[in-house]
Amino acid sequence: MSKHITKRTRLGLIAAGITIMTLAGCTGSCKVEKEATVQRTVSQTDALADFDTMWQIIYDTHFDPDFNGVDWQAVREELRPQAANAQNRREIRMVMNEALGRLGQSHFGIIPQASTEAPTKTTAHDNSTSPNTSSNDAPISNTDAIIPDESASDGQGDADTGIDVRIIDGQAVVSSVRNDSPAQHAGVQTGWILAQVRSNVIQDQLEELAESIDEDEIEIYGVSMITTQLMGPENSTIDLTFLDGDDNEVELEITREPMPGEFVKFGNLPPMSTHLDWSRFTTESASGNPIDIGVIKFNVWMMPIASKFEKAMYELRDVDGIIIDLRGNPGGIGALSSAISRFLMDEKGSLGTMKMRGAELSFNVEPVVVTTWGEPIDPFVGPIAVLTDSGTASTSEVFAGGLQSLGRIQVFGTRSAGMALPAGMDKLPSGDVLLHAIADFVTSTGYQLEHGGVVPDHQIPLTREDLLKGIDSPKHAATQWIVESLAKE
Amino acid sequence: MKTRPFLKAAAIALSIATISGIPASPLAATASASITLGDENHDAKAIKIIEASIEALGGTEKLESIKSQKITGTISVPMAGISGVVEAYTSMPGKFLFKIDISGMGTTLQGLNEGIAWSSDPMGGPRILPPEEAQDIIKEADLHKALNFRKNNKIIEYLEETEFEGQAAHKIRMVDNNGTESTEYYSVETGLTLGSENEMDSPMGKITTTTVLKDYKELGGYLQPTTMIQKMGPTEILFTFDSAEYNKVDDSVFAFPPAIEALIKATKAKEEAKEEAAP
Repeated sequence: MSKHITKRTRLGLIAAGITIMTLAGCTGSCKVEKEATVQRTVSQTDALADFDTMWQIIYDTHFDPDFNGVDWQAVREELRPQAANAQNRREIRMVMNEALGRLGQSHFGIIPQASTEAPTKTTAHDNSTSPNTSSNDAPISNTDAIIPDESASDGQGDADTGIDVRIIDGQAVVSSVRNDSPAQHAGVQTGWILAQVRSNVIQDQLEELAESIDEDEIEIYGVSMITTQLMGPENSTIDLTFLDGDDNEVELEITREPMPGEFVKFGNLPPMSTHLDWSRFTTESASGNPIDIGVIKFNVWMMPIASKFEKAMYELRDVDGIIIDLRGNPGGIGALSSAISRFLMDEKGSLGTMKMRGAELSFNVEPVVVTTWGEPIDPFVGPIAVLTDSGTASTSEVFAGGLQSLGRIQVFGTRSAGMALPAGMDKLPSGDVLLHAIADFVTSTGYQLEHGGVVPDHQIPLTREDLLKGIDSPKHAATQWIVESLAKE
Repeated sequence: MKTRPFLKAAAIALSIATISGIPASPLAATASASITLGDENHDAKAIKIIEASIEALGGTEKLESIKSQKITGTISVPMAGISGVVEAYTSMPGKFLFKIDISGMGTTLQGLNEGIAWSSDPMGGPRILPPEEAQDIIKEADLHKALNFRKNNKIIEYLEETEFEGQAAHKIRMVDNNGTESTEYYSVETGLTLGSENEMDSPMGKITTTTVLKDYKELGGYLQPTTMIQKMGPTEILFTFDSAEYNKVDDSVFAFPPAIEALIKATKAKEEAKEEAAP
């Protein structure tokens, strides 16, 4: 399997909210599943049913009749015999992902059935029941499935420590610590380097990962790899080793807690924790006048966000400027981008066009007039800054790229993922879900977000130095821009 | 033809499905040779086929007796794995309400009352529909529009005998008085409508859909299709209808929801303010 093929499949799955456990390397004691003796657990008929269905759906629905330059018929002829020989569902998925990877585009991949089911209330004491631990039904990316013995529950639950990391200068740096989270209570500070998760040395894992992907992608895959390891069952503990601001080792045992917000199941997508935070702060203009700025951050574009965003905008309707933080937001329901934008535009407009085979849909925005509870409200007309990074993907890119093309926002941070193809999620005969792009998306200026991503108006990367001082550089720059914009007015 | 009211509602569902960039299904572009005809140009063969379809549904007198209807069923979008329940209410003259409840998404409403077409859904919020979108709803609210096909269409033209969804079909082109074009397919065997291709306005722009009608059964004493599949691009939306009631709909169901009432009030206030500001 080529490096490129594996990469694009992973891209699609990240965009679908699937974290990738098995990108995590492993030092210390590991079980290498691929070396285990494998007994056939699926019939040839069942194996081919999934493969043939997958192939046909792509054939019928891919937005490009030329399949991005790939001879899709030849792919079938080459890989169908491998599917017929697959011994278990994991192997079938590997073959299908190989085929999908040939397309070289985001939003193609197989989501294992177990991942799409309602969240299991796994606890630290019953992780053996986790649906993802079956060797024959392991998550999709288990092409090199390796599970640390001492940390079998890592990546298997819905709880976390409250730490966000970003790869800065090749190291995993704590970029934020959630308020009232276990990590905050343990004293973790932004700017610290996450050196070890249990006995796994993060630097070694990143180096290992770098061998299988392109250099400019280490950020997104590295973060995904680490984030997954930090997750686990509620009340489970994890030993983490940090390097503080003086590069002294700090060892902490942190007990995971459920992520805030609500778990949402939408269609064939896996259940996702959905939360939105908003706040306001006051800064000063050059002349000393107070300037109120609202900050809205949410983790994924799922339905509850629509009402939460509306309530946030209602509460923030008197601020002077708004910062919307989409860093690390992998996307979700595409049309929510228009729904959210109606609070931010005072004239009709379009975020862009979804171009399918045989049809086009415009992501039109109609300015809000009243709230869903019937109270008149005007769209926000002040300056808006949107923060992006390499973890900003899919619907987040449609939103940010669309508003940027309309000249409504300024984007701060680093370039987004460039994974912006609208996708469908069909069930295969086995119950696994085929994620498949069905459209291209271009903004109102004709800019194609896939591959290109959202290019910030202000390229402001995070720096460890600033984080240690408690400064979020892109947010700081966005604040300055809002202040200056208001001064010009 | 009585089930046409769902066409517009299906368009709403399409925009719902578009959500995660979810939609789906190739429309086999059936660009039949376009023949320009003048107003009032009705083709005798086409008229006969349409009249036969009305007879197949029970005849003019029976259909004219319908003053209101309530139909319930389910909706699913296989490509997204979403499903829910639908309810549609229509009352003559000019009242319409369509309600879709989808798990994980919430309730989508579209209605017509007092001459105002509106919609409300968790994503788009409350909206008063612009004239181009309202026009479709006003048509759907006319339970007798199938009977009034002569009056409602300026062009009715027989195109050919063809195949539609695996069945021999008469293909008829219609252009209504607003200039909106559609292609209708009638079963050669039963005379019943098999489906159509339509262009319609939606919140996401003009969309072209193919609608398939099948599984005709008696519901509430009237023959009608109990399965409707609507296709747009690679997307398919499946409706199944399991119950129908006629002439028992209480007009209270068409009342504006509070957010729509507030929107109407706010819109009027804005218009009045504009008028006052005008020189």
